[in-house]
Amino acid sequence: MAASLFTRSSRIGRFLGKLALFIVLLIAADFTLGKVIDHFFRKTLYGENWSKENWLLSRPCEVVCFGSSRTFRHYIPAVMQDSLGMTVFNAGANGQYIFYAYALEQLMLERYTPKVIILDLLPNFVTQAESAEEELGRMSAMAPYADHPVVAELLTGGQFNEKIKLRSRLYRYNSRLLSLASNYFNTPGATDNGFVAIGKTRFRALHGFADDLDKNPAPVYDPRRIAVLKAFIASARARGARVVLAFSPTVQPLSPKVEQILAWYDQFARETNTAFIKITSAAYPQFYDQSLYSDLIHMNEPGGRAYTPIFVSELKKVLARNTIP
Amino acid sequence: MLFNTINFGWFFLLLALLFFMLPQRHRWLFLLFCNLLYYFCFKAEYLVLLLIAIGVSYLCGLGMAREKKRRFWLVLGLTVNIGILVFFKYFNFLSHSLMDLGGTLGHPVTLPLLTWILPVGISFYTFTASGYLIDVYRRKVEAERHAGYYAAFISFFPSIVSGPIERAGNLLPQLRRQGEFDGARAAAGMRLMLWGFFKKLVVADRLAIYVNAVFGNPDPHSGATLLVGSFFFTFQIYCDFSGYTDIAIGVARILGFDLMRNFNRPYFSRSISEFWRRWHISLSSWFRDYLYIPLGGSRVSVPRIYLNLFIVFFVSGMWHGANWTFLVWGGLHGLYAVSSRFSQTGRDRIAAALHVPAVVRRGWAIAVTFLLVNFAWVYFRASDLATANKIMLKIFSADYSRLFIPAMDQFIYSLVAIALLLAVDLLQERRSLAAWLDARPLPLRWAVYGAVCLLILLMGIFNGSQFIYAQF
Repeated sequence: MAASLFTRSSRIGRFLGKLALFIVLLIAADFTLGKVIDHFFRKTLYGENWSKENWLLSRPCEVVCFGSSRTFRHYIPAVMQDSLGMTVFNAGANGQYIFYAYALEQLMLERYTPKVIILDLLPNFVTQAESAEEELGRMSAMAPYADHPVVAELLTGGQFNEKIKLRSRLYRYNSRLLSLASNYFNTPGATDNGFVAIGKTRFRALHGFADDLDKNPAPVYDPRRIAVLKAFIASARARGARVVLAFSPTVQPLSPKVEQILAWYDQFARETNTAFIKITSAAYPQFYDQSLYSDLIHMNEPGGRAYTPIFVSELKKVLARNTIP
Repeated sequence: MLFNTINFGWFFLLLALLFFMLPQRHRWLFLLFCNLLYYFCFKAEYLVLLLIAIGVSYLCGLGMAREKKRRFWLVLGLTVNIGILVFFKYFNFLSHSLMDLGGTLGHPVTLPLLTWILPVGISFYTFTASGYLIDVYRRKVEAERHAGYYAAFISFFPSIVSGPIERAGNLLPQLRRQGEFDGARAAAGMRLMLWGFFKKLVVADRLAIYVNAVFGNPDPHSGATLLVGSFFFTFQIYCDFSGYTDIAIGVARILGFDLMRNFNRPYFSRSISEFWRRWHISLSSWFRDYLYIPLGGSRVSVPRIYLNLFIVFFVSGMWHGANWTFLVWGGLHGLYAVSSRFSQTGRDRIAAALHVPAVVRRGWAIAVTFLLVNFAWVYFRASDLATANKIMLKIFSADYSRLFIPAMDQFIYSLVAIALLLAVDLLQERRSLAAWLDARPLPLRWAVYGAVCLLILLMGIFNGSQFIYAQF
């Protein structure tokens, strides 16, 4: 088609030629600038969001905790290290679900295999509590790693147009330059092996589980998310790592819907022969104390300090058993 | 298939290539096909409605051309066009209002409600067709006899969703005589599209994140937050709408068509009347030509002028949407316009007596106009009247203790985006940046275009969000 255009009109041909040259130069500029940003990004190791992946990928740890913001706020590596005698990293991230955990796990397993992988579960790790677009939006944090096939698949959802966007090196850092600069100049010790105590100690009843905000009275399970959860466990085991599923407390009693999802997780853990440490406030009533939380589902630092030792003691029991892979 | 999606990029690329490959005499047919295909992609059922509007206004135009019963054909055409608009846009609003009224008076009534989504661009294409009918009636344009040209004019895909509301006298002749491909025009069109994408993706959609968070749940927010939210919305709606318009005009220009200008840096206006000469120009000039002047315009008594002004702005508010918030928004602008005209002489005398320097006066006028427009936008954006009133009360309650900033970096991006926009608009107030760029050597021009592209990639929001005015 382009060839016939050139022959039909030299004016169109000239214009398209110039346009093509401009696009080539633009791609070159995008690639070069993207590489420069990439260089600085790979060197960032600290920061509450976004740069912690580089720490995990560049410094092998023996125990890694994956999950959402609840993981990020609830598991204190220093406490765990002292008790377990193993190096621990908290890879939980704000606003992230199972896709992010799986993508990060794949990148990590390519580099090294930890002894234990903990996955703190959110109810909606396996349910449809948001749209596919929201899921893709969340995954944009992994855009700098879009060259990895598994990450690329999770980032694009297999959509052709999304794949085109990710061809741009700069787009991978879309809306991230300021946080990249901030993280680049962050000093060691800004995080405790991935953990950052939540800044606000005042309780805010703003956040709840996405499933409780969702209007569907019963959970609607998402086969793709379940498949990713299964793949998360399977790939860790294939490399010889032990996987432990976990659920941490909430300030209010769980809704019937979330209870139903937890029952599903129980069943899933049995079926996949995976350890599941479930520490709910119903079983440990001290976690109904509002002063341990910053909002409905996130603990503050005192909460994390109260929770982590209990979790570690349960984890020790699991690790002492040799029957569970 | 919105402008800010990759699918539209594919659609337009293919369309433009095929359009210029075709012999000129067949291009209208291809363009018409693409127009209908574009509209079909939004929702197939509403294509029927568009075809009815086209068919009826075309036949009524022909009816007027026969010089008999001209008024009948005009009234019939306008009734069908405006009827379609009123039925689809205001049916639920009227039903709800009557049910509320019945409940208030102690006689609850249940009225039927439509469950359909408002057809895309209905306010725009019905106004385009109505304008055509009035122009034919006034003999400003001849009735179009070629049904294909006429259908391509009403359904012209770049402007059907959100305008500009084109005039038959401008676009129809261009459809009849299509020229050869012009590289300079295409480049100018692409440059306009690029700036439109910058406004939509970098400014409007960025600000939308904060605006949606604040206006979606205003209760926990302070006056400071709501004020910032209202400022952000003021820039969001400008960039969203003028961004759409720039892309539409750019797309049309690449294909060889000149659409009318719709925006002229409205936030540098020194009065409300100037604001409306710079904002949504195709709509305000439509109301001027087809409503204000027929009402008597400014050639009547002063009280009647005030009434005419108020009527025009009130109807403009109604045109925007079936909600009391839009009526209040239109009413506020009506009040602004009337009081501005009423107080003009007095203000001039005070300024002269105080020897206020012209530059201070100008800055003051721009700031006051901006703030008035900004407060009216609160009513435009709020979900209902009670929420809008609550927001306004909070803004004026002097509760400026805390500012909601969910993510500092995102907030900074928003401020940078506004600063870039204002810088460019300010430069444009002094000279035409397009003309300046055209006079520069190619490498510099390309460097500027490349920088804007890279900035969009780095700072744009690529979620394919709807254009605000597409809902009207």
